Amino acid sequence: MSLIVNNLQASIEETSILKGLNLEVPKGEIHAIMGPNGSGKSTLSKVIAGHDDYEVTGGSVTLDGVDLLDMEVDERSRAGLFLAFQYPAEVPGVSNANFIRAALQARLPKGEEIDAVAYYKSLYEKMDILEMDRQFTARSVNEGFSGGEKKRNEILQMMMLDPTFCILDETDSGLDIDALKIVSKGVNSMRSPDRGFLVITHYQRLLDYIEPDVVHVMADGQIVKSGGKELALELEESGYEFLKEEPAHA
Amino acid sequence: MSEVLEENFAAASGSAIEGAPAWFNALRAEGLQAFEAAEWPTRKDENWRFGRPKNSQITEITLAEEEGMIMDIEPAPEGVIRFTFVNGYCMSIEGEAPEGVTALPLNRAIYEGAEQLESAIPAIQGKLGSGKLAAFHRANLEDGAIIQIGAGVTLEKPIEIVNLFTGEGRSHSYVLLTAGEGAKASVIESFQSTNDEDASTVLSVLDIKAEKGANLKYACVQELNTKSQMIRIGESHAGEQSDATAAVLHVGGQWVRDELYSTVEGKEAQCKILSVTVPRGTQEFDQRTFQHHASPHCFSDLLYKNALYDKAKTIFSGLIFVDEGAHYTDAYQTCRNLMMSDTSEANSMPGLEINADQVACSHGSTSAQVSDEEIFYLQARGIPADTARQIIAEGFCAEVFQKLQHEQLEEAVIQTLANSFA
Repeated sequence: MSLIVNNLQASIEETSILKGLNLEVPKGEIHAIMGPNGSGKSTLSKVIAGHDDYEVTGGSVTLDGVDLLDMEVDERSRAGLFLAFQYPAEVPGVSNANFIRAALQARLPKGEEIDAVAYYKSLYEKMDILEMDRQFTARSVNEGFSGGEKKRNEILQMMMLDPTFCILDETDSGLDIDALKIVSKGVNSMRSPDRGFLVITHYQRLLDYIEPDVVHVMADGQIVKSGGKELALELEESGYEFLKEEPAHA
Repeated sequence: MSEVLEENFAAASGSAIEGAPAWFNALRAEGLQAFEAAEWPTRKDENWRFGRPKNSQITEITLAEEEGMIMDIEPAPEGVIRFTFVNGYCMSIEGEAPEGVTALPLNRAIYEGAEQLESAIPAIQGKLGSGKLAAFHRANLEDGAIIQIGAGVTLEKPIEIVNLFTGEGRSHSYVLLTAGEGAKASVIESFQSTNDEDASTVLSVLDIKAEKGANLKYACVQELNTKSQMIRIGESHAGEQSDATAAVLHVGGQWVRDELYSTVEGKEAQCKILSVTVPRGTQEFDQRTFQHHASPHCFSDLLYKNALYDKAKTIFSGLIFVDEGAHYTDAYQTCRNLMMSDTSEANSMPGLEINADQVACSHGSTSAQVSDEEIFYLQARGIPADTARQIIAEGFCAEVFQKLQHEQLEEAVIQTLANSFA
């Protein structure tokens, strides 16, 4: 699905973070957003997902023409949006298998039950792609997981929920190179002409494995520059110094 | 009415049961004496702080009738020993006790294993506020589950004790559970009403003892109807290098008082004390615990969690008590309350008294609501906020029973827990 963000403005406790952000990710494409700390990258992902710490003060976000901002967080997810968290929450006492199952169950009409056999078959297939040990199903969600395990778990959930638009918020942070490759493998296995991706990252490295169609640079709550994947390489080399020479336009 | 009551009372309490061994009748008589000598607790009693001492005066409530088998229960699975009690009277025992294991109703055990039993029944309990009631229970001791695991015996499957209650009135239940040297066993006990209407009053006493090197795990699920009330008075004793675990899940009952006194005595004795309550409506659960470290190098770990809904109320009062000379004690006590409504009330009184050196102890209690970040995370996966809260609360509770480290017991308790959230 296509994600269209139009003139999005959002603030947290009266501090304006997103200042009229425009972005269009057509379905089938992977777009990357890079930018210095504090530019508002993670805020963008949370605002799209619907975190209520942030107040949307203007603009719109649509997924294939459907207004997301009017929906509850869970409705957005069921409408096809997926956010892979930078810092996934821990849910003590709830097993991973039951958690993912509850998420799938939430997508079914009332009275309909998940087929347990088919569910575990599908779960194990995806865990194999992500090289996750079977014992992950019984462990409490993210509790005591290493950084890499948490990120793999995010991708596992993404693969299980089969969303139409995925936002990956700094999924590469805290990953060693092997884990990065595995996570990328999972993401790439989901590339499809019907699915869009927004990949938020600090480092060009991730984009070696998840090849973007477009790279955007974000600064001070706006997209200030867009280009092909070579833009990421440029940034890697010369950093964000250029932002000071070309101040963000209103 | 009152005449009938008196008769009933005089006939049962403390009197000799015809044909019973003298030692047993002496226990009952002693119970009556202690009952008469003891005072009812008052609000000034520290063990009843924030509680309802008046509620413990249940001795004048008419005894519930002895009923036949009143519910169709599926037969116990192959190899499982199961007691079924109705209103405190043993209706059936299924399964066969293997060699070295005694599993008998008390009113048979007193004839068939009298010598051992006489020494196995401990002194009257009730150190945590219900001494008078514990004496009353002793004075009326008549039936119960006697489970004695002989030295070196390992029982693979948990022994089941099912307590059913029907009709109005007071019922008594008793469990004596002992594990001999190096024995290993587990027990799951349940308390259920047969309908939603009958107001039962249940007085339950539990004695657990693990001898040297034994491993004994006991779990209890209490799901009485919300017209009923219950007082449970429990003691556990873990000997040298033994491991005694006692867990309880309270979801039923309008008012429940639960006292558990745990002693670790003998080098490297350890005990785990686990509890979860999920009070709803105006249910009130009042729990008192005591972790008694009687010798050096012992370990005890208490984890109590409450998930409180609506206008429910909980009271937790716990004390870790380290005797003089019980050096190198390792003792923990945690009470955590999850406030699922603004109108529920959780009272926690953790405590610590240390009379030894080189001691590692911690105690604490917390009260919190479900964290917004957790709800957001589940919502972001498509789970509606209300369902998310339920899942998180259930997980909060379920975590406690992972500490049982016993798959079958955990499964049994978790099933009841899940039903209470369904």
